[in-house]
Amino acid sequence: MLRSIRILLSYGALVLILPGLALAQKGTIAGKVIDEISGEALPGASVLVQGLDLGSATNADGEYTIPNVPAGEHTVVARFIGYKTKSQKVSVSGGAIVELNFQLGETVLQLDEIVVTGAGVASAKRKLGNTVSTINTDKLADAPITTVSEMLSAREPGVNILPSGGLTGEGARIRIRGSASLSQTNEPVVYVDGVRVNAGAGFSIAGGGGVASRLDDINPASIERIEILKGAAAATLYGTQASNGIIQIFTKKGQFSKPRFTLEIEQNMISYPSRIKPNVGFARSQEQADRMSSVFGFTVRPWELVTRDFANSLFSTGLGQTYSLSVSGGGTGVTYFVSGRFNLTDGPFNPEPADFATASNPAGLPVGGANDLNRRGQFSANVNVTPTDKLNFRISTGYTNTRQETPDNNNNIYGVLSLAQFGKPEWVSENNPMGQVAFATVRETTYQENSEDTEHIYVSLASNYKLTKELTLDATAGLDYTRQRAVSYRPFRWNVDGKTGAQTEGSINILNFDQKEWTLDVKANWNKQFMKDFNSSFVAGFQGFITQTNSSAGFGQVFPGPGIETLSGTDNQTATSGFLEIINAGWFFQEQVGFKDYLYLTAGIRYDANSAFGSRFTTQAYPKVSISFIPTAMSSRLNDMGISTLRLRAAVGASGQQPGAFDALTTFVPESSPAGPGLTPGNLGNPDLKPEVSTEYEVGFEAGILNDKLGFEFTYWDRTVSDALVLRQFPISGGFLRQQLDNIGELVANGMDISVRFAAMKKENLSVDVFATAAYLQEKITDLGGAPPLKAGGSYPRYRNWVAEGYAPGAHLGAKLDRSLEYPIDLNGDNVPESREELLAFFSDPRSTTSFRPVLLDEDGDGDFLDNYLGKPTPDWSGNFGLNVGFLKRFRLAAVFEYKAGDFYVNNLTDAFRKSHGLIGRNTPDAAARELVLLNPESSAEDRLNAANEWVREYLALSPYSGLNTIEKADFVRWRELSIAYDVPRNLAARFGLRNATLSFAGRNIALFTSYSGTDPENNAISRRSGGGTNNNFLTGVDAFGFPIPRQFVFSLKVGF
Amino acid sequence: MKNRKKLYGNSGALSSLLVVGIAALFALGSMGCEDPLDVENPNDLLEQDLQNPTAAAAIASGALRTTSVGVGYCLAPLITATDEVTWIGSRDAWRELDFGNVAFAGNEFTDNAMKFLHEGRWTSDNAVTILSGFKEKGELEDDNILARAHLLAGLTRVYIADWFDDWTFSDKTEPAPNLGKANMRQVYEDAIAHLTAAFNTATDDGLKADIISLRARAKHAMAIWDLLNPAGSTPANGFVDAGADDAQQALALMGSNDYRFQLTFGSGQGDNDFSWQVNGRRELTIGAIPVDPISGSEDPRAAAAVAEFKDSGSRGSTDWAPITVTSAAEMHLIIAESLYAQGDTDAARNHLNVMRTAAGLPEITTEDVGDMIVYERHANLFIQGRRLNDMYRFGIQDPMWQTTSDAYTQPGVLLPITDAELQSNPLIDPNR
Repeated sequence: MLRSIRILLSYGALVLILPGLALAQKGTIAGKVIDEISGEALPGASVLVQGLDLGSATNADGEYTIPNVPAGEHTVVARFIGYKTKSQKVSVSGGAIVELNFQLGETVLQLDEIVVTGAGVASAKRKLGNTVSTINTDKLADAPITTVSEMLSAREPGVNILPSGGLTGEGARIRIRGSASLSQTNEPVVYVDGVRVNAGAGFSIAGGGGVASRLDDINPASIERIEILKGAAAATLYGTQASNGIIQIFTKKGQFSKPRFTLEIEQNMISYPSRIKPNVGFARSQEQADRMSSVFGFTVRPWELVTRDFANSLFSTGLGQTYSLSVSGGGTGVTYFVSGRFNLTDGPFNPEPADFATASNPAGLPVGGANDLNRRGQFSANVNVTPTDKLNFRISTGYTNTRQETPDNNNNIYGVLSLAQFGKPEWVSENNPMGQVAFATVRETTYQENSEDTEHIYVSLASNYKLTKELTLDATAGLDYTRQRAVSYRPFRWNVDGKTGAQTEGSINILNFDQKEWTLDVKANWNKQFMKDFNSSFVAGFQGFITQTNSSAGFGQVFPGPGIETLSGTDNQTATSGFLEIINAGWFFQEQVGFKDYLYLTAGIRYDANSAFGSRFTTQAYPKVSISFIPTAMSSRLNDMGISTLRLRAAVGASGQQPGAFDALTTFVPESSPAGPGLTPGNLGNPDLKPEVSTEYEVGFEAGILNDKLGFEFTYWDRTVSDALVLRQFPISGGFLRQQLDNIGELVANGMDISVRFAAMKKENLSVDVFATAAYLQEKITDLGGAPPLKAGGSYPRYRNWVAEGYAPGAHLGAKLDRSLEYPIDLNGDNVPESREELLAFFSDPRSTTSFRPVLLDEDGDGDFLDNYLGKPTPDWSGNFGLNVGFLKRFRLAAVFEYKAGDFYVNNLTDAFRKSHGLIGRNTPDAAARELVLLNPESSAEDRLNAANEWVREYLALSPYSGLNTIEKADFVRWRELSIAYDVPRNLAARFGLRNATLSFAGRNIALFTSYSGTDPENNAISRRSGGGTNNNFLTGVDAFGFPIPRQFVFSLKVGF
Repeated sequence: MKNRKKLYGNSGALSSLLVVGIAALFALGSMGCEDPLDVENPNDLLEQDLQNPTAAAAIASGALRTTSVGVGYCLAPLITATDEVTWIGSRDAWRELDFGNVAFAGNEFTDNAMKFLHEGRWTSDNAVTILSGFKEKGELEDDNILARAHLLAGLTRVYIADWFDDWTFSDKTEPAPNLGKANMRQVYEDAIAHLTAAFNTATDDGLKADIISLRARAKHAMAIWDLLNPAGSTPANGFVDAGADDAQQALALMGSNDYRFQLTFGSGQGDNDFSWQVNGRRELTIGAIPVDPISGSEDPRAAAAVAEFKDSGSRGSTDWAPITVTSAAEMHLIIAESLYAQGDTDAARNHLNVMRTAAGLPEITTEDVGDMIVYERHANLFIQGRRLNDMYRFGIQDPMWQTTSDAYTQPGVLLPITDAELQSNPLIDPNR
């Protein structure tokens, strides 16, 4: 109390020295905000005087002060995350301090949370008929989070963050409620402080994986909260391109106080779990055995299995460190938040000379400069100025500078880990100690260097003016600018072992890309109370976006000698460049009517125009209607039944995706020829092209029982995309090879988002709260409009994801064995099994694995053995569960698990190759053993028949039986996050001059529980991409020689002063 | 949080006006412009831009590029089925071709390759149409450009008919039915018609040499087609008498026995996929160089072709080996075979010996002129993609062909219409 008086006096002093103020008519409100059960102070709670722009936040002791309140009657509202909002009336007299305390009750529901929805107007969640999810970063302070992708991962049902692989700096794909488009991008649109930002991807120059996400450029330390709109019903007021959902990021604005510094230091240890199988092989002759013996240094005999571990020998423990300093505060009319952050991570990929040692050369051989590294510096600043009580300006900006280095990887014949996994012990030699059969040696591939440097800056200017008590004007303008430069380099004579034949004289590829996105957003909001019980909020606005991208690339090969690394140093060069501009404009209107405080009805409409629409199409309209009804606010009868809170809601709305910038036009592309510059067919064109329309409805409820300690959230949603843009392949013989977009498809999906939260215990020394979420997703392509089905990867048979009518988009279709037969083995190519006698006769001699065929099924009887349904790469059920525990007053423990289950299948291409491929595979222990039996002259016919039977049932894979023994069930549970934090006692911290100090230990991807036998059920052949297309969208769930997702342990110290 | 001080007077009203003003300006500005949604596309040309006569040379060059790339792509699966090339890499579909399974419509390499030949065919035909239009209006600055377009239209047809059992000629989004296996001869006839038009339009001698030599090759190949269709059996007599007159005219225009008409590739000018598969990716390898039966050593002409194919040093890339379309050597072979088919064995022998002596090889003295014609074709046309039809008509089998394969059981069978076309063209009738 003494301290409060001191604060009050200092404010009073401030007030005295400022001229021109009518002090006599102003008073002060002060008090404390505590938990109503435990009596614990609630620091950081917001206390606002309703109707005026006056308020404060409670300090560490839960105390607040609001000076300069005009004398009279006021309503004061206290609000804190995880607690029910409360308001009280108070009477203020001039020159006096009035005490007003609040006791808030805990709730696991967040109906009173204020969100900025599709209308851009702050609204309490209770009034919205559609779901808006929020992620508050102060609840994630201890979690092992380095990027925004990790911040979103495993939090919200229906919001799926798909990592795709474990390379350092790799970004994740984001899918909200599955896929809403068959051809355009399925990534949500991202806004930061009201400005649209580039949330695309970096360049893919190293084979498919390791691609950065531009979302990770945003400084996580500067984020206050993230709002996620999941579907068309919610996203209507964002128009074209919002059908995949919207992610809105809001940065910290500071608070009215002296400068508060926060310093955080993190040390991170990263390692790959050993999920990659060792390399097993056997010598088939004495000469081969002798060669193996001389390389390995121990005696090898023919027909005996030898095991080596080439892939895992390339890894060691990676190290990362993060330093972050931020300062926030504010004075009269200004608050600010400034933050700087630096992260340097050198991942676990570390090939060394000793990895290539042989018995006669134990020191090994030199290796190249391929590395997995991520270095990122971030700066953000946010200044909030309120010169008068009617006007508010805000400028916020963020700048990131990233450098990422990635080794060649994934489905890439020059990938370092890829080739290491295909090493065969029987092929080793002095200059090929990892036994590569084709393409290059592993050591050679370490000479390929890939790097990307990116600068990303956004600026957002916003102003808010209260014209009258009821009418507010809002304007936001901003620019997001990205500049990316990637270099992919092969040095002169990188074929150091004489194996590779590709660009042996060296090559260099330089890619440049820059993107500017301008945003202009203007709104007017009119609030009116009428007829005592009705309140209305009307918003009208205009939004305009301009996106411009410039790209250029140069490729050169053949250096004159070693040491030269520039493009101009090459003997022959090619260059390309491109330019793209998209303009999007929209007008919207929304009316929300509330009856008392328990019934709200909202209706809105948006009109969109876009430069990408065909010439015969003008604007698209997107309507929305929603209702929210809170029975427990209407009457207390439900309370008597034990239901403390109940809200029912429903919403329906439409949104849509526009086609690409020039998809409507027939074009010819300039391409050179030996006779000079030429023109070749480009795009077929379609003047009727228009956007696709995604219509969604959702119904749901929030219910709280046990006085809101146990909360349920449930939503059922249903979406239909009509006039879906399908990439239609017109006859190849027509001369235009590109697929042309046509509005001929239909895609339907439905699902549920379920969330349960239980604040089980809240005592002084122990608090426990547990949570679980589940999202159910079902999608189907109901109509492709007569266009032929599309396959990810085109004619490359190894990827089996199809966009086909009657299946989920991206479903795996491929070959299936007739497992009902005792011996599904065919010797003469008629797909009919031979008898046991015939088979024994055949196998009385040694046989190769290609001398017999499997008996295949044709389930739909159409003569095509490669279109059987084998599962889909998106699970029926996904979600998370975990708990937060506070114990011994200062300790906190949090754990989050993520799971995926239900018709969830991954194309385990890694093992399909390793089990089956004659040249570069057959090096897993089991496959090698079976092949040994088949080829060994000592085996009996019976042994060989059994080995052959096992072969077709488990090991035979790849073309021409694509999909066989490859598509595997991949249900998993992953222990995603663990954190243990200790808050140093306040007086101990104060001795060091600190406000607070926290020590924590955290882990990420700690354990994986799955029956999937491949490298990682979350791996994918390609990682994040910008833009749409069949591959970017539906080449998914393909585990193709990638890096497993690493385990990380983080130690951090966070101090405030 | 915020403090209420009236320090800035009426700035509030001014600010509100500013905000509204910006919005109004933007709205007005957007209404005032022609069409604010009109964006520039400096990357490509629209179809109507091709009606500009200054685009003539580029239109013909585009046809050259797409045709060259298409031929390079289709060469790979076709040649893998012969005894000239073997698979040594990781993509199993090549193995199927090695085994002689040529007619599988789902082979990923045939499926991918034929797309580019379709693009080349359409682009060449489109070039002929547009450039003929310019010529009619007197807007064509150089007749040789039109001649080149006709040449390419003929060239694509020769390769299509040489390598494929069936084909379709659609136009952009308008599908056309397939010709049908029995009607593929028409493709040679159309090729010859284009080449005739090309010859009559061209004014450059080098160009005329290319054109007439290709017409000789087309007539010769058409006669082989008559022998091998319908497919299913080895002909009793594989030699044909066709194209000799054109071959003579070509030799006169060529002026040298080393003359070759080649499709070339280069940095930014199109890649030869077959070259990449052998030289770069090392998925395929060229088999043994034919051994001259008389001298007993590797044939220098085939060896030279392989050396040129593999030479990447000076060109710097593994993707740019040239493809020989016709050569003076081929003209001699057509003439020699013609003489032999007419029964004039001695004249045929003499003609072959002219070529052999020029290459430093010992003369043929035996009566096995027929066998030597077969050998000379193998050696002189090595890795040009001509071997498969020769193997069929002369009853030669690749030891790698499985006895159940298409090539083994049906001599004359060529690459099919593949899945990508079958799925995208509703008018294809596989039974035609």
